[in-house]
Amino acid sequence: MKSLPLSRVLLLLLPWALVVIVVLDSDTARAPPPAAAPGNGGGAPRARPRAPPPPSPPPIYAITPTYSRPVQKAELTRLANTFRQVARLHWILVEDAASRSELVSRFVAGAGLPCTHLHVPTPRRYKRPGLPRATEQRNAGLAWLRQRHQHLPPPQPGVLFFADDDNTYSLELFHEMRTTRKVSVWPVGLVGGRRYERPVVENGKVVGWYTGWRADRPFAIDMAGFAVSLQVILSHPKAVFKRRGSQPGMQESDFLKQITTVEELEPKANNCTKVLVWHTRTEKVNLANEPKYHLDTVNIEV
Amino acid sequence: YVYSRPPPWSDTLPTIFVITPTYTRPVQKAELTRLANTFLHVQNLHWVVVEDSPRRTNLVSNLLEKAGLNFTHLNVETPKSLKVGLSWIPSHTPRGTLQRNLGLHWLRNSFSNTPPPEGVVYFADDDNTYSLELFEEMRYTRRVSVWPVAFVGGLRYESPKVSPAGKVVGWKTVFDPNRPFAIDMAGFAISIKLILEKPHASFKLEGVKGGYQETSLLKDLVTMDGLEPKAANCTKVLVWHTRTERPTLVNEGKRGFTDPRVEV
Repeated sequence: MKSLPLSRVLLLLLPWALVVIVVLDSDTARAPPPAAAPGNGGGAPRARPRAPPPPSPPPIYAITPTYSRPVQKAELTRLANTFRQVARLHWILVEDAASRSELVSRFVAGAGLPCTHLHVPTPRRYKRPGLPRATEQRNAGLAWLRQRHQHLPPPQPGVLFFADDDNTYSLELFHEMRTTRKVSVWPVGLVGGRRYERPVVENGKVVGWYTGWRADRPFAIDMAGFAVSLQVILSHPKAVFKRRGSQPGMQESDFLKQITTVEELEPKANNCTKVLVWHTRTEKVNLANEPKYHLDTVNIEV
Repeated sequence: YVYSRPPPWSDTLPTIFVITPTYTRPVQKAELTRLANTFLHVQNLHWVVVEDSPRRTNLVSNLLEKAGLNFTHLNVETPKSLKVGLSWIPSHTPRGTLQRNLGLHWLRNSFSNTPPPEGVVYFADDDNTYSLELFEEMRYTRRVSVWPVAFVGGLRYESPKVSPAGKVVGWKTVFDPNRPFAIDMAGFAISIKLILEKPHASFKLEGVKGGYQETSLLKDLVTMDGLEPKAANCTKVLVWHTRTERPTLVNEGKRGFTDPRVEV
């Protein structure tokens, strides 16, 4: 047979190539869509539908009162380093100040996690030793959360806890608190004059308190030892930290009795036998050598 | 429980070997925990934890296993005679010296037969506070790099004095600014290459005056004009010499009240 010229061969093959391409394309189009409705009836076997993505974890709100002193930036820095490891953590920083400070504003801008920057000054008459501290700041955090969610339908997912800026938090703690339904509790290290304090748990329920100070309190627990679900806060709009009629050392107890009962408490950290948070305190800095008048030529933030 | 992981190791990024001496006391686990939480952010970080103890403790072993970091766990006990101190002034007792030296020794051993990675060595005490930016500043050290440190020497910060040309020409300190290296342990990093080049450079134990520990090592490695200033020519504070209060455990009593099996 006379051999065909190349152009003829190509012309002959081209329509077949097109047919093959079209067939292949329609085949792919017929592949089952992801997460197809179950029970589609029998028929041609389809690829297994991909599982739906896991629901995003409930957000954790950390309410941190803070105040200006030399170690403030250091404390906030190492706290941020911890919080940035936690998924969906929203940091609510409340300065004890009449206005936002430059230091904290700058810090928040570069913090690397979602952050709400509030401020409220503590009235002078409440700044005496022995009086509870950070009351106004924690209440400001609660108020912000309530205001932000006021028009949203219940139940709102999320958990909040009070994170003082000098404590130390393990990452495991956040995993534990995230499943809080109402109010959860756990041990706290290095508090109450002891290695740790903890709720006493029997059969999965809190029955008492293992504490170094006034174990007769209704809730003998440190600020670092509990978390509250957002919905409980929203359903108890009047629950705040009290000033009037508050006794020293009763802040936590006075607050918790407005929103829950001991029976309702959910023990975490392996029935309250593991320490996942420590009430560390940072030494006051020795600035004895700071000159009275500026000696340095630059103004460096510390 | 899903443990955190550091960023994936990179074959092209210089390694940061962080040597941390540590010792048993109530706040130890807390300190190491928040340190780990910081280090988890830093790519290519290898944590060398050296306990001041006769044996590696379970507390530290378990913490390191769970942390998710690249680590090496060593221990060496400081003999009691040294613990009491060469000086009656507590702040002048060199602490962590044997432990830091063991860290250097391990590093030199590890790379005696294999080519060392590009990288630096940094001495990070377990109660200081470190910003993430600090690690990126030190990562590309050629010989020895330096920067300011907050809350040392009775000041808001001490800092190297840097000339307009970018060279270290002195020390902005009140306490003994004429020391050859008037700088805190947290204020410098040394390239691995230099550590291996000078195998006899280590911290001296004997006859070291208060405030001279850093000098005892650095003088064998570098001269002042060979230092590389970081942190915007030493105008930014990226590390704070924080100290943690000793917790009052008055309610433990003589025999201990809390269950010793609950780890704190």
